[in-house]
Amino acid sequence: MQRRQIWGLFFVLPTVIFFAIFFLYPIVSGLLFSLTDFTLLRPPEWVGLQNYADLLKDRLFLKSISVTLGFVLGTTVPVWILSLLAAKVFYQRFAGREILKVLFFAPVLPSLVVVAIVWRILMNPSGVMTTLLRPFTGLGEIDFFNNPTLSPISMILINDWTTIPFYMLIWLAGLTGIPLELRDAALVDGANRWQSFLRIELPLLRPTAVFVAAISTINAFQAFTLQYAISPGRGGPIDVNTTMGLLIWKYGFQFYRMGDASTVSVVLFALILIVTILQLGLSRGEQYSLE
Amino acid sequence: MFRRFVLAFVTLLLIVSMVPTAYGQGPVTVKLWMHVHPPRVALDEELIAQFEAENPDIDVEYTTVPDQEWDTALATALASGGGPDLFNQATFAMGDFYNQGILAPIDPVAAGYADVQAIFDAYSFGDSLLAGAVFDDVLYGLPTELSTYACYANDDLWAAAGLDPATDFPSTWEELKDVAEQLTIRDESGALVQRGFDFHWGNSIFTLLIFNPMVQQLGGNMIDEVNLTASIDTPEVRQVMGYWNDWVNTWKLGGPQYEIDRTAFLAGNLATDCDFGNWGVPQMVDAGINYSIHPQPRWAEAVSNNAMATYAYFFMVNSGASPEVQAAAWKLAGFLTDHPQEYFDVAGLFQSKKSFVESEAFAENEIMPIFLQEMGVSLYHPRIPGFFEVADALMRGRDRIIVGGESMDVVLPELEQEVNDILARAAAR
Repeated sequence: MQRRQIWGLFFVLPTVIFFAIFFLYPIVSGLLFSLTDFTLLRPPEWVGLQNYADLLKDRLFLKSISVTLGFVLGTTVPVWILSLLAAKVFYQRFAGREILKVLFFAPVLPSLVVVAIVWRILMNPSGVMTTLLRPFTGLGEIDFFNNPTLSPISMILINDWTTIPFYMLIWLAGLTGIPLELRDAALVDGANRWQSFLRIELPLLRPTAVFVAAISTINAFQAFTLQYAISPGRGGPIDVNTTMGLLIWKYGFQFYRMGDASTVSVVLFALILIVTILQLGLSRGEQYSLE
Repeated sequence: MFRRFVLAFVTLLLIVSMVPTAYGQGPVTVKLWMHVHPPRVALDEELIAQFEAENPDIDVEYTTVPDQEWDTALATALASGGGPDLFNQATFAMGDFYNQGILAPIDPVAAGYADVQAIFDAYSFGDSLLAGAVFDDVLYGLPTELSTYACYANDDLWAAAGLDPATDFPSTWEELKDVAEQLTIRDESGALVQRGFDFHWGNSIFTLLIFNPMVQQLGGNMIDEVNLTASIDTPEVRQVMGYWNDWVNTWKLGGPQYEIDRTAFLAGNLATDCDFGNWGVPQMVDAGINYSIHPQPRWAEAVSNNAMATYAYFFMVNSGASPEVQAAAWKLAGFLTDHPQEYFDVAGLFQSKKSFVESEAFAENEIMPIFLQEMGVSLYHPRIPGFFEVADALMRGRDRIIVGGESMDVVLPELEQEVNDILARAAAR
């Protein structure tokens, strides 16, 4: 091995060690725990694939998959579209744009727990949201969090409110990276704004789109904080907010079923991996470059 | 040369043989874990310093853990083979701890008693209040805090409704509904502005701390903690569930959608609350609530006089600790629980030691006799393996009926089966 390679390894070593301890070891441990009956209170006992077989009959787990998929759907596609629209708005020049941009970005700044507390107050049955909606609904009370139909929708809306500004900023960076000459050339060639957006901007935004789609999907699959902090009984009512992330916590730290919690986390990991690979696969095809 | 060699060898042998002796005579260290309760911590530290001074052969490593991190921190510490030797454990997860063989039986002599019977004799209502740490007739702990709930009335809100809690406080659940209606205030749109009374809906453990005791008053019991079976599809459960359902959907006096009852009571938006313990008094004082305390209602046709479930914290010793450490831990537990008056005065924590309960100071206390009277007739919540999972399932069942509008005929048999499955699985672990 050349001296230069040895030095290279030496400089990489801290990162490798950090990764091995804080990422690789927990992943491997989680995988191994998923093959054990582990109550947290006693050393784990090997059970092979039994936990995986049991999960197929576990109603709570099966429900958590549908709850998670619903949440993913509600917090990805609408977020992609609305954040792109917002980016298009803020890409235009208009008076007060910078101030508005800061205000629009504000929901990203507080922690999700703070957001949860604020929205829990605003969406109190007879709170501000009910008052604002009263002219349309005529209702004195709206049960945003305890109604099994409204509750997951409320979670999605709160999540979207806090994530759209973040992805807007990513789209905005992507839009800014597209040279004006290309748009001007399209306009000279007779393209209208919609055609310019569809044929010029959108293809060139593909790398940004892949990033936004992948990150938002992964985050949505891992949903935990809002459901933990807002939903009644942590995941309720009737488990309509028990996402897989929340179920992992419940199984591991509330029910002392760490083996089952690890199994759910492995399944969640596999789901995220499959969806991400699918997204990356779909994003391939004709590549557009500015070079 | 040979003699010098033998001399050196013997000297070395002596030195080596002395090492374990010296080590064995060193102080025993007891790792003690308590949850954070600021008023209690200072007193703990003061008493531990006194204990160490009186017992120079015992060192105490005192650790406090925030309440919300307790279960996770303790479980992971025990899983890693470490964890405390002595810990202050709530009765809720105690069934799991017992089932997993973590608890060491009490050593009465080390704890300062002649025998186990002497421990029961040292407590007022010893048989029923120490039952929280008894499994298969063996005592596993000494109580640091005994609790049950009583009803707090906001006297000002009652007076505003033309009622006097001293004379009008209901003794039955049936009467409570009528009184709550008089105390309830709605705005012009029908929205509740002030509730007269409401249950605690937000946390699943209240299905076992409040709902099940109401079932027990009628002669039923959802969970048999000895045989680990569930009886949920019963007339008693139907009656209580029907009452809770009517409370929300027919009489519209409250429900899970509203602010948690304790918060609402302290904010002056709820006139009566029945799930504060004696530890609620400082919160009433801080909130400026003019309050009075009353026994829990019973059913008009109750067959059992129990109030809400008793729950407690107990000093428990880790069965994985060495015998010397276990003995030292029980000695420390015995010492710390020998100061009930101080813990009550400083931290509001109640231990029913006769030395305290029979004192003049206790007799002069305005509220504690009510709580003690309620504890004396009450039962512990079921101390089962899978406690939190069972509570979670019960809450889900309750919500299917009350929030989801499903029929009890459908939900209760399914719920009974689900809880039986949970109990069987938890017991088998």
